[in-house]
Amino acid sequence: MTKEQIKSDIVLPRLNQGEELIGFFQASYTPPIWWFFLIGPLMFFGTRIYYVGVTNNGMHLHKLSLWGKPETYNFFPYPEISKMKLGKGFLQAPLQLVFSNGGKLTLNAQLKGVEKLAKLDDKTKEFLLSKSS
Amino acid sequence: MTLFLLTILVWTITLFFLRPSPNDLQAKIPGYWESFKNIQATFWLGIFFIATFFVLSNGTFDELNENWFVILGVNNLYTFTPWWFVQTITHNFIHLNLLHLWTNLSFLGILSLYERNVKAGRFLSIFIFSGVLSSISIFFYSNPMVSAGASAGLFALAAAYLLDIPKLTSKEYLLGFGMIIFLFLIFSFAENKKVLDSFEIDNWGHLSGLIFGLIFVNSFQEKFLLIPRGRKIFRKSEFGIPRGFLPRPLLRAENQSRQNEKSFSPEKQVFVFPSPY
Repeated sequence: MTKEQIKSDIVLPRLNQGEELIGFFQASYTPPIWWFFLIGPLMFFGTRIYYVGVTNNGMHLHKLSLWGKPETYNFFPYPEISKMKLGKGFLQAPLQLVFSNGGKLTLNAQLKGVEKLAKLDDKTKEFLLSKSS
Repeated sequence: MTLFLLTILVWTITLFFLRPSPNDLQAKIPGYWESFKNIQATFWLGIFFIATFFVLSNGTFDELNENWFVILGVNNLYTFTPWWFVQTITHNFIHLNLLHLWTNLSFLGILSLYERNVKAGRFLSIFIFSGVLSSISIFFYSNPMVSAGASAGLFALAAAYLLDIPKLTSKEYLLGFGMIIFLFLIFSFAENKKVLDSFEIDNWGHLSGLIFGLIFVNSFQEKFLLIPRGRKIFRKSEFGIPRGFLPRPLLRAENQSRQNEKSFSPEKQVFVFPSPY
């Protein structure tokens, strides 16, 4: 899917009325490294792609299945994200999220890539940094 | 005896504390006991493997008694006798030595992830269905041999974990099928070493388990249980066989034709006016 298709088919239909889209990007989740010592390279079956939509109200997380189909969708308003930390990177930037229900998620936001890939742009990055705690 | 008790203890503790985060990020994170209750089939299957090994090793918990191995393992010498059919079931529950048992228990523990998704009925159905049918692998060997172990059923569960996704199109299913088989071939046949002089890893058994697991996932609907409770599974389809045994594309075609019949049947036609609200 190109970033235009992701925006029109996946991200925009989930926005609420009056919600402003700041930006969206592709991010990947990789299981913690200790899984490698347990099951070896099979741990990469746990890798998942997320499409993250950042709006003025919160974050829309679209998780894809192993076969690239939208699997689960979650919306977290900013008050429900108790901790957010965006790190630095060359190809990917780590984005750590801790939710108010105790759940944690560490994603690698895409910074560089081919044209059709939805990358984390400067505007969204600045917005996320302003929301980081 | 110490090893037997230790294995049971480690198995119970590991499963109790194995608590993966729910798929839905907004869902409440379950407590340890709540999480443990969701993997009862895995837990009791593991306990059954351990207990069986303990009994059949004459209490040594070291190596399976050879007589039991010949009696309960599936073989290519006396095929299609009534007892041979029983062996196709029993060979799934016995293990040759402690290492064999521990390896399969670790694999089963990881596959408890799949039981959390589909519940115990489907989990055990796939294990038994594929474990029994994987016995055909013995026909790929020309030398007389006896095969035993739960690994074929476990490979079927692993394949089902990856491909048991609702609303998967036929194209995606076939792509996934090919990919899983390809990965298996790379991992298994690339390192085809003999474990011991008299023992060999039954790669054909693993492969057939994997294939039957994938066939089960595509052929049987999500709610299919070993002891079905719903009558819908046995309702005769327009293809002449029960609906529960129809492959997904045929089932989809039948559902579509039923829907069309309903919407175009003149005696059942009801006019509904759009609500002004």
